[in-house]
Amino acid sequence: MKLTNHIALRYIGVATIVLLISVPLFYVVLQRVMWNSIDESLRFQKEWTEEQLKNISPEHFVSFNNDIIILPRLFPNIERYYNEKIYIPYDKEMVTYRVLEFNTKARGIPYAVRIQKSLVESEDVLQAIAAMQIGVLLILLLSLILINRNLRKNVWIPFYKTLDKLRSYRIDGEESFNLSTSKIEEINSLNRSLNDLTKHNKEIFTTQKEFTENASHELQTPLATMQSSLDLLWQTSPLSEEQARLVQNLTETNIRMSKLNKALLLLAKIDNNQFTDKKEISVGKLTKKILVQYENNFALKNIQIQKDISSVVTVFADETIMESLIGNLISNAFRHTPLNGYVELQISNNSFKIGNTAKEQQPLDKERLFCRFQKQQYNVQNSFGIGLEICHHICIKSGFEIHYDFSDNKNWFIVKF
Amino acid sequence: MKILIVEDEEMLSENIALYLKQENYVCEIAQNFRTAMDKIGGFDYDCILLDITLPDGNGLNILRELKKEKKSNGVIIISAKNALDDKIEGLNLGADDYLDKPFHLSELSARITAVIRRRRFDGSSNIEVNELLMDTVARTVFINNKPLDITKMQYDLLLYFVVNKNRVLSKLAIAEHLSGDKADGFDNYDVVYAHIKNLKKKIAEAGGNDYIKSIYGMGYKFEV
Repeated sequence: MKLTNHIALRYIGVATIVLLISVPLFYVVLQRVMWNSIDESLRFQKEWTEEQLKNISPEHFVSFNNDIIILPRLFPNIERYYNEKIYIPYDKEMVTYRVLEFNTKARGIPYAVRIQKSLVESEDVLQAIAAMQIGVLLILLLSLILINRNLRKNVWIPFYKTLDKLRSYRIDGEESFNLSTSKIEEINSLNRSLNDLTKHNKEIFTTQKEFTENASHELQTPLATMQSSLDLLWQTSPLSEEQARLVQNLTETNIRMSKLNKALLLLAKIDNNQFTDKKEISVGKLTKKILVQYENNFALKNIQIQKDISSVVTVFADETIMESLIGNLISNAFRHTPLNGYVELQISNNSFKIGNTAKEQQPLDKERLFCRFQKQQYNVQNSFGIGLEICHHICIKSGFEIHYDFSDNKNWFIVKF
Repeated sequence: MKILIVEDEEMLSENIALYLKQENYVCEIAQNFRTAMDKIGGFDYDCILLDITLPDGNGLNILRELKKEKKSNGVIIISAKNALDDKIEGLNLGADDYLDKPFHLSELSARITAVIRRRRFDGSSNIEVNELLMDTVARTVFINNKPLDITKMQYDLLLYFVVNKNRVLSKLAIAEHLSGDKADGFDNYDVVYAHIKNLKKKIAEAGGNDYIKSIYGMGYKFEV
């Protein structure tokens, strides 16, 4: 529920409850007050009648509208006030009367006296007052709704705008996060804070992005210097067997460091969404192109490739990213296939499948497969286990699905586009 | 053969120069954009090794200048930036090859040889070592004028040996060369031995000399 409605519902709810309770209560209280005042007037009439009866015989007693009736008998009660509906032939309607009945004695003879007074006028007044009260309360309710709408325009719409902008905000986006000012101090304060926050975050993001880019250069160059020095050392003569072994160890470490650096850099770039040049790519064509680059590698380990990649499957993605995804899967399959093993490639039904002969005849640990630095599968020495994580991140960022399967004594990786 | 090394890292450029001098190249070093432009304006080189990130300018602009002046030298970009855009742009601007840092000097040397060979228009794309002849255009090998039946990978292996002749190549460098930058050389470390053995066998059967010597504990050497 929207905050504005949440608050409005409470306003209107409370107002309605107050209205429902107050109008009848007001009506009843007012009615009692009126009856009291009429009863008092009836009492005056009673005293007046008793006074009159001292001088005038009841037979000659005249009152306006026959409102005072004197009967030569007694009521069971000495005195009582009550309401009674009486039919008025002149108006052809029932009218409520306030009646006072009492017993009295005039010149020694007991009489029963009944004084009645029409309540029509006072009820009209009462109803008019009640109607006015309902009117006032309705106007109040309407005002609440209007105030709420006005608040919505002045407070909530700027707030929702801020919320919308915040929702669509991307730290790697081009446009800056410029929130406009509003009439409300709090919203202005919020917008100002958000502007500052995003500006600061963007600066940090840009710095980090630049750092990742520079880190590669800054690290690769010393690695290159080290490598060239090792190569020159390798060429010196005489070089003992032990020295040769040490130089080779250093060379290997150096290469590994460089490749790890490149892989981490790629991962950072993927996470930073730095690959956005999307276009239609034929998965089959791309796979063929990449396979050519691996020819020597497969030949080295005498790995047979069985491929069924003629189906036309296209994806809308960045080419570098796609090359990296398929390349990493092929590289991974190649690395983990034993000598003289098989690698199988299938492209069909909007998916890319790659399987390789498993070294151990059991499935891999699915849970830990896509974790960084997880040297998955038989702990193949020198593999960083980062290739699969790169694939995983690419799939997340591109909206693909990747999963692992073990069948036919092969480890399968399936990407659904 | 004259080579210009455009590289701001002094130690690296000196190491490259030292290695290439042993291969009988004449090397000059430019450590910044301005010096590189001066040298290119004044001299002709057979091959230029070009670092893209220079302290005072972008190496790609040097490439543009070379193209504008229609120089016929080969260019190999050596970059640490690892950015695909630079690679594509560099190759589009007329660079012959692209080598990611770090690299083996033997790999660099092989690339330079290939570039210079390709740039030569006198038809001498053949490499001859006594009875051994490699046609680098058709990618075929002859021993005593008889074609040798070898696989693509064995050809790559032999060419790498020939252009780095008389140098000891480690198994790792060989594996890295064959794997390219697509896989880790050390994945193939152990299988290199078997392939070299096969290559040696084929050459021996065709009547060739046993040039490829195994150096214990180090690697292999193509000895002439």
